[in-house]
Parts: sequence; C-alpha cells; structure tokens
Amino acid sequence: MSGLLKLKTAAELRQIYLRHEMFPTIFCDGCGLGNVLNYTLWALDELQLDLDRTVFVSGIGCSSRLSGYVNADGMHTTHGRALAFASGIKAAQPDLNVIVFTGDGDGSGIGGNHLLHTIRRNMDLTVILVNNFTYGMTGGQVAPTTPIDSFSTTTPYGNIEYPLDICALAQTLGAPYVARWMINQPYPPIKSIAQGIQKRGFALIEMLVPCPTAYGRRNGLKQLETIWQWYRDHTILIDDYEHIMHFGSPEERAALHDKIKIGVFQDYERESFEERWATLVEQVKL
Amino acid sequence: MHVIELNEHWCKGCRVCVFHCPTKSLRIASRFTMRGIHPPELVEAERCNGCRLCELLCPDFAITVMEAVSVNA
Repeated sequence: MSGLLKLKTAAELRQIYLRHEMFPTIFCDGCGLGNVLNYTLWALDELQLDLDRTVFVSGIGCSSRLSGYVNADGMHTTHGRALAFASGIKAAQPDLNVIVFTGDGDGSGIGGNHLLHTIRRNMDLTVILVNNFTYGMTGGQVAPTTPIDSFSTTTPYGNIEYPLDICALAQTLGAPYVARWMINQPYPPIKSIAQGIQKRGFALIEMLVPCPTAYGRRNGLKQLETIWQWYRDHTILIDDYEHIMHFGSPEERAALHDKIKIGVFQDYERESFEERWATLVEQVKL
Repeated sequence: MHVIELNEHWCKGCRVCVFHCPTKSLRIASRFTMRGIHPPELVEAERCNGCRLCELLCPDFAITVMEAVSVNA
C-alpha cells in the first residue's frame, strides 16, 4: 500500500498509559475486562488527568489485575478491602485522584460492608465495579450478583438465591453518581467514567462484563458471539424502561421483567468527606 | 481508505473485532502468528469506513486503525 500513515491517538494512548512489560494481558478469550481498562484510559485522556497525581487501587480477582497494566501508581490490596485502602489514601492526600477497580465478588461480596460504609461516608473515589456474575479467578463459584437459576461450580443444580442489585444499593445509600453500562458500546461508558472522575464524592460505575469461561460455559453462553449478544438482548436503557413502564402495553411491560437496566441512575451534588473534614479542621483548630 | 495495524504479540485472536465490525470488513486470517493464534485481517479495505470500533472494543489494545494518506495529495 502506497502512502504515508497518519498516526491516530489510540496508539499514542497506549504509549502513554500502559506498562508494556505487563502485556499481553492474562484475560481469557471473550472477556471484557480489557475493554473496561480501554474505556478508563480514554476517559483519563479526555480529562487530561495527570498520571502522577492518580492512584489505581484494586482488590483481588480478575478485575483487580487491571491496576497493574496502567503506568501509574497503584495498590493491589487484600480481598475485598480495596475501598478501605482507597479511603485511607484519599484521607491522607485529598488532592490525589483515586480510581478503584473492583469486581462483583470483591466489591459486593467479600467487601460488601466496606462498600456500604464508603458510600455512607461519601469519600471522593471513582469506583469501577466490574460485574461478571461470578467469582471468575477462583473457578466460577456463586457470587452475590449471580442471577437466579443460573449454574456455577457451587450451585450445580441452579442458584436459588436472589441476586444483589449493586446500583440500587448505592442509590439507596445516597451515592452522588451511580451508573451501570455494558461494554458492547464504547462511548457511553467513556463519558460516564469521565463524569464519575470529575464528580466530587463517591462515584460508582458498574460495568457488565461477559465471562465466557467461568460463567458462560455453565449457562449455555460459551460462544463469544452468544455471550456478547446476550448482553445486548438483556439490557435496556433506563429512559426506555421508564417510557415503556408509563406508556407501554401489558405485554411490553411483561417483556421487561428479565432485563437489566443500564444508564445513569443518580447524579446530584453532595458534600464529600474531604470537604466536611476540611471544614471541621477549620472549626476546631487552635 | 484505511488500514489496520495489529500488535501480534498482544492479540489473542478472540474475534471480538470481527463480529462487531459494522461493515463486515474484517475476517480471521488462516495464517498463524508467533503466539499460535489466527489474527484478524482487513479484507475489504474499500468497505472499511474508519469508524474505529474495533480499536475501541479490542480488549488487548492490539488494533490501531489508521488512515492511509496519499503522498501526492
């Protein structure tokens, strides 16, 4: 092919933000965790965030490997305690941008209590909670988010427990920014992550990520095309959901019962822990 | 006119780019890379409209879409 090649920004993005010695990634075929990292980096690039003033914190699990690939300071902490460590970093150095990668088992199962109290405290963190419906790294055990009647290593006859809706929980606790996205569409998550980083206060972005190896294999979604299409078929935008609930026929409304709502669920201003802490220090200092 | 550049050390041949391509201009090549996988390749360079969806959706940061600029232009 004759002609000069004009370099686009994606290759430059990789040059700036990635640790090349860590690549190739460890993720399985069809896993969407790489996409989550990709979208986070695009969001960082959109905001022109200084990598020297950004900390990536993660717990244990497939999703928590992500902090190792970014060319910034990071912490790979104990299981479920990523939010506790991140709170400590933010309390000690409030001017740092702290981004937490955590999984559904790590963030809502093992570290569920930390999630509750970090939201309640309203720490200024951006939490990217990657939900793949299972404990992927340890071999596909049932997680708090595993859908009812689905199969896993520890539920060989079907899961009888109702799943946890992490976004609804965060909304109830009053998190200033709550969103959920699937990874098939790149631009909404990029924009949402950028909004979450800019938000003063706790921002929770739940990403629905396909796991063909640990979850899909046991639930008839082993093929990559099938599992990626499953997420398209089983998600609905919150605006469309509300529209159909208001104006739709009973059949249309009945068709929504097994769909997962995606979109921005909550976006408002609330005084964060750091601001209240600074005010308190001003009040009581001698 | 666009071309794709593939980092063959990072690509694991998961086909996410191939089945998401809106113009169906990518396909899995029959050759092997050094890692022993079949990489994607651009077969219909005229059909590719440079939407860069494969680049954004690649979980392994392996694809870059580039515009071929003519020397005489």
